[in-house]
Amino acid sequence: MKSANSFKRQAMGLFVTLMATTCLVACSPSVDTHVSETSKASESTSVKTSAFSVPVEYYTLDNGLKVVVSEDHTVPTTTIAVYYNIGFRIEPRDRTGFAHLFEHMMFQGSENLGKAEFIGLVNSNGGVLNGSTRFDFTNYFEVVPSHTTETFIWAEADRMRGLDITQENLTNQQGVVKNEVKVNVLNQPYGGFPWLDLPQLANENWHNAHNFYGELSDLDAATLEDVDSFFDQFYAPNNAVVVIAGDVDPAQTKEWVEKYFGTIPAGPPVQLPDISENRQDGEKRSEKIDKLAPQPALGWAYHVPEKWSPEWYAMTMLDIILANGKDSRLYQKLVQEKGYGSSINAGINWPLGNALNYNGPMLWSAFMVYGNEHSADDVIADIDAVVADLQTNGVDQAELDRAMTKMRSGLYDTLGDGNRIGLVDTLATLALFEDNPQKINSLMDGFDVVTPELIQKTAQEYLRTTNRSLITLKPAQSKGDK
Amino acid sequence: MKHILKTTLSSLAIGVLSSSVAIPAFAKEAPPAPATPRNFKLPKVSNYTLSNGVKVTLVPYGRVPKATVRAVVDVGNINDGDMTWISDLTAAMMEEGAGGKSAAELAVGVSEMGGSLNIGVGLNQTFAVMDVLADSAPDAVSMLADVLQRPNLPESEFKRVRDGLIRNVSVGKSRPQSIADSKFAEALYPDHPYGRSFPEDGALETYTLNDVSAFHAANFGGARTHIYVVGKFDADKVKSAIKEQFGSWDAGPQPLDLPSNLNEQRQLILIDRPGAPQSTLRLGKRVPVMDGSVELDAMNTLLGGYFSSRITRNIREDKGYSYSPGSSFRTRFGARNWQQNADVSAESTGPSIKEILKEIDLMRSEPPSEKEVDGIKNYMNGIFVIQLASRGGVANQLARVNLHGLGTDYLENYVGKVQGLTAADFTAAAKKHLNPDDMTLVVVGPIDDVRAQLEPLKDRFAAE
Repeated sequence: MKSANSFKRQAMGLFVTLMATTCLVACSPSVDTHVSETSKASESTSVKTSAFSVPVEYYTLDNGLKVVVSEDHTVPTTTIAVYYNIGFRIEPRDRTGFAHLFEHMMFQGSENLGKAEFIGLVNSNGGVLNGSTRFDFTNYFEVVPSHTTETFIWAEADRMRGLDITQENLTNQQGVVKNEVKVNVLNQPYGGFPWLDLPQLANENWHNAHNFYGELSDLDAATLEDVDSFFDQFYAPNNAVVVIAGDVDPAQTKEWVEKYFGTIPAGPPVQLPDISENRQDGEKRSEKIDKLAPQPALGWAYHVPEKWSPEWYAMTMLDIILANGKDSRLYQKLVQEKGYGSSINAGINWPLGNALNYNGPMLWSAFMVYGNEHSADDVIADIDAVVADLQTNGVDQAELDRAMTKMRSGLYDTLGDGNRIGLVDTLATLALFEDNPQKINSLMDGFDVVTPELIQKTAQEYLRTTNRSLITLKPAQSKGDK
Repeated sequence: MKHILKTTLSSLAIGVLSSSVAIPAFAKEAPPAPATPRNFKLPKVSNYTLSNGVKVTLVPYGRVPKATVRAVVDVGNINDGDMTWISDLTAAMMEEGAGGKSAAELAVGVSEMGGSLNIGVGLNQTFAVMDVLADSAPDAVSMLADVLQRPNLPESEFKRVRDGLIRNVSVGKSRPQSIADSKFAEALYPDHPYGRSFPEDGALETYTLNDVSAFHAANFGGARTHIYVVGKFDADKVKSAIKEQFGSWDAGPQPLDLPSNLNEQRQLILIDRPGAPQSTLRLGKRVPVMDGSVELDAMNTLLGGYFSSRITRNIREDKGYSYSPGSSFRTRFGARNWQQNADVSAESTGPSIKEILKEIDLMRSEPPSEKEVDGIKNYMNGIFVIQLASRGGVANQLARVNLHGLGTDYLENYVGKVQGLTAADFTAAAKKHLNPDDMTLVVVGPIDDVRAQLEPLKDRFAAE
């Protein structure tokens, strides 16, 4: 089915095999992958709308590896994910793009599985896999038939234990990653916009403000020594979590995890750099010329409140109120009323993640292509008006309730995804960043207490123009000059 | 060779394992063998038809309290006639309010159901989809009835909606992948709506609201509509909502049967994109329509259809020419084609095509190994389960089975058919259906830079 306004979610990863929409809160509602209930007795005709809760078993091995197991027998598959607490904002300064390049190296050979063998093992057993690199983690996951669970606990442990990479394999993946950058950025209208550009404009700390995909010259400069030291520094069990969700017996799973992961030695404690950002107190603007784009576009962002603070909960609700769904305020004003464009894409940590799966300073970002018969100033003036109205008049309880309904519904999708991608993502990041995956069952508590007053106060502080960064993208050919 | 290894005691014990085989210097540990496969039960499906022809499929499914309500109407670009995308414009206008409610009022209503409303148009069908909290499933049925049967089609919104579509076409036509797709479809489906991916420049501007109203009136009706409800919902309430909301809709016309003749001629199509760092490739041809057999699918999977496929291993994992190459079938009602897609470094354009052709030739001349065949069987059966593991997936699969008339037992028999595949099936399917001499090749890239690379391939493709 073709879609009239389809701007794909950016995937910085190994390969796009599964649409991993881990969309707590503001997600595009058109992708629906949810859990099926085929084997369990679902004979009961009662329709439950009470809270949905996820079983969580959590422990830490002696070597520091965090382990989360979540039993779910609705489909005879298991989703196995390993998240390493190393994202692209931590990579070395002269090696931009290295965290992502390294992600590719994790498929190039380990102690017992040669190049392509890990992928082959997953595929030939009836599974799919992927890996991706994000702000604060790099993840690897596979959805496999549940009778092969032990096989893939072994396989993930094998590559955590050690890699076996040749120069040939590194050169090959440098070629693949450069082609990834070309297809997603360099040869693509709106390529990298605004997701690569906004962090570079809005942030002051290099860690948050460099090119995460990497300069092609830096990608070329990577050596096997870089691979070696990066692995030693960041790919240790004490810097990772393994999540096993699905058709498993937790006791048996624990035995396998201890058998295969338990003997991997801990690495030295991981030192993470200071990634903090100061409060922004002046608007930043820049312009980008995109010679492939036929229509102008706007990308804009605000720094969001500290995660888990009352204002962060309110900001997450504000995201829904501003840009989630066709009843949202920006959609109603910019699309429905003014007709500047056909859609708005926005969110906290958009488009690389959601409001939960990061750990540090973060932006709420938005993107809209608008018609070249309109001026950027007109669009911006209407954005300002929407924001000013929120800051001056706030929201009423009915609008807040509607946002809560969307939130709850979105959470069901994240946790109830049939291939459990959203489930393992949420469990993994809560374990890595909070040491508390059980929090998955009380996520709504902080949202339930958000009041219209807090929404208004948060809009006043965080939707300040002086907290905003804005990029106008202009086609190389301006109108009338064909 | 670089070897990064965290040394532990257990890794030293490996040599003891397989003593009966000649042990290489560094004996490798084999992965633990899989246990016995577990049963996968298909969801329970109930089907019925209203007197006006509306078909209904209900599937209780899932562990979260949500439901997908999907109305699939047999109207799409195939019904466009000479007004390409009039179906898209009609669908876009149907989102602008219905049953007397404005678009904004609909949007608020959808939100209160915790859901979304999307209307998408494909070549054969229009999909009006709502995904909502379980309790709201009957209300979603009502809203879809309004949207499909009683759209407001307001004059006040028409120009804005049409301008939006025009803008989206211009963006679509700027993407090298869309350009390649549209040229490729044009070559494979000449003189048929399947070959017209985009309206001509300036065409949409001439479409009027009257055209939209007329298209809606002529094409939407009960006989073309199939409603799928998948998820956790109260079946009695949903059934009565469907009867009440859809039972009195006019039957309208039957689905359009517009055969697409096999009149393709192989072509070499070069589209210049000066300075582009990559060439976007489409290589393929028409193949027989879907009939429920699995041989072609299996052959395609091994050739280029999954991560471990031969072409991906070759041009990505061996040569590094491309990031995400892949082959697939594009399936329309009454027509189907196979295509290999790849975005390759400009300097690797010729070599990439050569390697792809080499893999096709090999698939046609030599049977795959037993290990490859077993791997494909497992993969296809695994994907079958993964694709059915969601509300949307279930609705998709059932709709696909129905569109192509694969029969009610198709899903039940699928795994068994896959298990019956042999190595000879792969060779036979490739030999019969993937003759490169009949294939069309589209290259969207820096043509002047890559022309010399294409020279050696000239004898395999007709002149431009």
